[in-house]
Amino acid sequence: MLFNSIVFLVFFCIFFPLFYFLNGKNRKILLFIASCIFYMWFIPVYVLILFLTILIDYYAAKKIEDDISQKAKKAHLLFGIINTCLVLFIFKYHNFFIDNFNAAGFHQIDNWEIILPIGLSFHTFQSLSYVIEVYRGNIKAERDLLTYSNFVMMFPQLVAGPIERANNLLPQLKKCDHTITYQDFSVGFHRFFWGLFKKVMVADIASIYVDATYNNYQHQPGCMLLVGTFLFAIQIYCDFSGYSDMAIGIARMMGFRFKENFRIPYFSKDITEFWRRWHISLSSWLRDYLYISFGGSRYGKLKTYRNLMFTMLLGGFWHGASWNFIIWGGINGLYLSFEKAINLPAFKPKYFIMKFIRVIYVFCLISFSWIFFRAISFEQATTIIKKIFTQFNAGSFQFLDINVFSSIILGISILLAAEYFVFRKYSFDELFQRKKGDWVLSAFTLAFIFLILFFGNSTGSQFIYFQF
Amino acid sequence: MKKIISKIAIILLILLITDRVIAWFFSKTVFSHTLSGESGGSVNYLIQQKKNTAFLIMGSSRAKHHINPSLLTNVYGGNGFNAGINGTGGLIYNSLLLQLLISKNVVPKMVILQVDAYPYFTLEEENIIPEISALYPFIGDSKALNDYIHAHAGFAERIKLLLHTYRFNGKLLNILYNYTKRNTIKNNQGFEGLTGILDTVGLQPIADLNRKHTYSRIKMDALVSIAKTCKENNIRLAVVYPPAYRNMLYLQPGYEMISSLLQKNGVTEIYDFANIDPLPELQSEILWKDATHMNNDGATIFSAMLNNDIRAANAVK
Repeated sequence: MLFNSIVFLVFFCIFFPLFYFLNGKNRKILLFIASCIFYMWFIPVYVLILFLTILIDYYAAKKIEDDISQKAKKAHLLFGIINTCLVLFIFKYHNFFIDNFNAAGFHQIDNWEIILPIGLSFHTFQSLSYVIEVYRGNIKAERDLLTYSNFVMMFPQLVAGPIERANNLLPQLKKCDHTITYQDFSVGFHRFFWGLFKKVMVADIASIYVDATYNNYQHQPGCMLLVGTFLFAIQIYCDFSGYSDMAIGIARMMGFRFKENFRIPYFSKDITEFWRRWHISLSSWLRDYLYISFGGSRYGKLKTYRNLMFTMLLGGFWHGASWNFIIWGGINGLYLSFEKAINLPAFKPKYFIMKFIRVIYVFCLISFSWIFFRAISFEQATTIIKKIFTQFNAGSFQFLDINVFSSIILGISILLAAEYFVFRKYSFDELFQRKKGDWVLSAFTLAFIFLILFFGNSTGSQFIYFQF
Repeated sequence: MKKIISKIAIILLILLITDRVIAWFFSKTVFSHTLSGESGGSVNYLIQQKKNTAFLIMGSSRAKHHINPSLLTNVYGGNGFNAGINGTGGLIYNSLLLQLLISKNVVPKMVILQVDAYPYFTLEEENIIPEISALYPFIGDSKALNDYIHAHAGFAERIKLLLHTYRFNGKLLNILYNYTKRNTIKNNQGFEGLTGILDTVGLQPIADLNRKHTYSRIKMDALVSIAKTCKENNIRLAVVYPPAYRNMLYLQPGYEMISSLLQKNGVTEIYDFANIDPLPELQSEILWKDATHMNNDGATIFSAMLNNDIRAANAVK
């Protein structure tokens, strides 16, 4: 079920009043059933995989807390981590390893024809963080299976995050008897439509140009591939942050507060800052459970670079079982290591023009890495890079479809204006609390709805991050 | 809850009222005066200024860019209009367009329908939205269109269409652009010749002869519907299978299937250019803009060939 579909609208219109009026255990049961329906809308039987990871980590965390000896705690931690990762390995990485094994010329093994369960990487990482936090003694193990199931399965964040931490979400789910205030609903409502605008009016429209250039890259000049690459940078941002806005908005309408997942990352002035603002729930996960566990920056410069590289390579691998994602992670690891070596984040630009140049620098570097993310093969990525640098041919630039291209420009202009003048300074709650804030937000939401009606891509395409 | 419900109610009310006002105002003041473009403007032009057109060319971009009505001198002296449309000009679109035009008293004496066996006929998915959405601005004008949308578009689309501004989804900029050049249109016959020459490097056949194609039931129904509408309104229907460079889109089983379907429905006037192996006139790459579209020079040659074939058919008749 996609947030940008009419089916979800009907689903939520039925769910919300029931959720509003129920309390405590009944509310939890309703949330659990609704999350099952939401997940089973994709491939029903895969809900069993979800139950399996829930049971593994529920049991592991309980045992970790109950065990007295450190050795037993560690054994149960390993049990939780290995089994959860095993599920991820079987469904996501099995074929990748088989392909590489076959390519190496060893014994030929057949691939498995399995479809990746939607959102698997997200909910396994969420479960893993829970078990690790229980082991570290930062949170108590959840004894109520229903509450824990809702923590993993809660439908707004189930398929593409944000990867919530137990210390934020579990306390909210525990009693589940909170009152949904008017501010909760209103802020969530407006945020949902802002996310929908980003997805339908910017990401889905930009994807038309991106697909046209990338799917036909052999016949495109470098200039069009460059524009396609820049537009993909916008597309993936609006697709994923739009999804996050919708997820956070839906949760907020239900009275839950999720952590922020994006903070206008393309206004970053260095790559380090970019990764603090992009997919925050994943980058903080990688920082807390990989980078710091590897030693972080505690053991000298070389080891810091090594740790950064390992973390980013694994972060790339988390996205998908392909060398392209690993290379994408590696490129970002190199950027971060380079910046650390020259200590770029310490040089804060004073003047607008310098800030602007730094923002463009970050956008260009990040866009370059996106080529590997978007390309379907290494050969495609390298051909595109080669064409951009050696066959630019600016004179052969085409808009492809002037109507679509104008819509893209309009969408990006509105996005930039809103982010620069509004969301860089104020949160939705701050906007709501201003004088007549609710009415101003309502007027903007109506304007966004009309923009979607006039310009939005109405085909209801999937979110890019659903594949992860 | 009371406050939440009243907020939703107020927003919905404002949304509905504003939607109706914007859609009505836009339709009356801009859209109905837009007489060119593929977002309904060329259909407006046909309805408002080409009521007496003797023949109509219908089809996809390969009709629009290949057949120049002014060169079809053997068909009512070339008094025709090319209503082909880029991208979405499949059979469903043309079936509905024909019904819309007839309801608006645009009844040509002849329809020249371009039909592709590939890809318009063989798409496995039956997503009809891109084809019918091109005609959304005319929903209020055609009962047949309205009924078809309600029967086939699906629940989600019907909900979206409750908002009238959605009829102009993806079309606004195109309409505004064409609206501003409405006065520059004089006697337009719809044909648009393409410029440029095909780069043959790396060309691969698109149609795969070995693949088992599934033919869309809904598109076959649309073809039958066109034949039926023409018969009921005394319109001569001729079908053209268009050429493609090096037979890139040639799909013999597909064309055989279409021919048999047409013959079953009483349509025998078929001009088959799908296989260009015996047609050396069309084989030079300088006549093609890309592998599936001829440039203006190619279109001129192709239109002349079609004109000759129609003359021969007229003689037989």
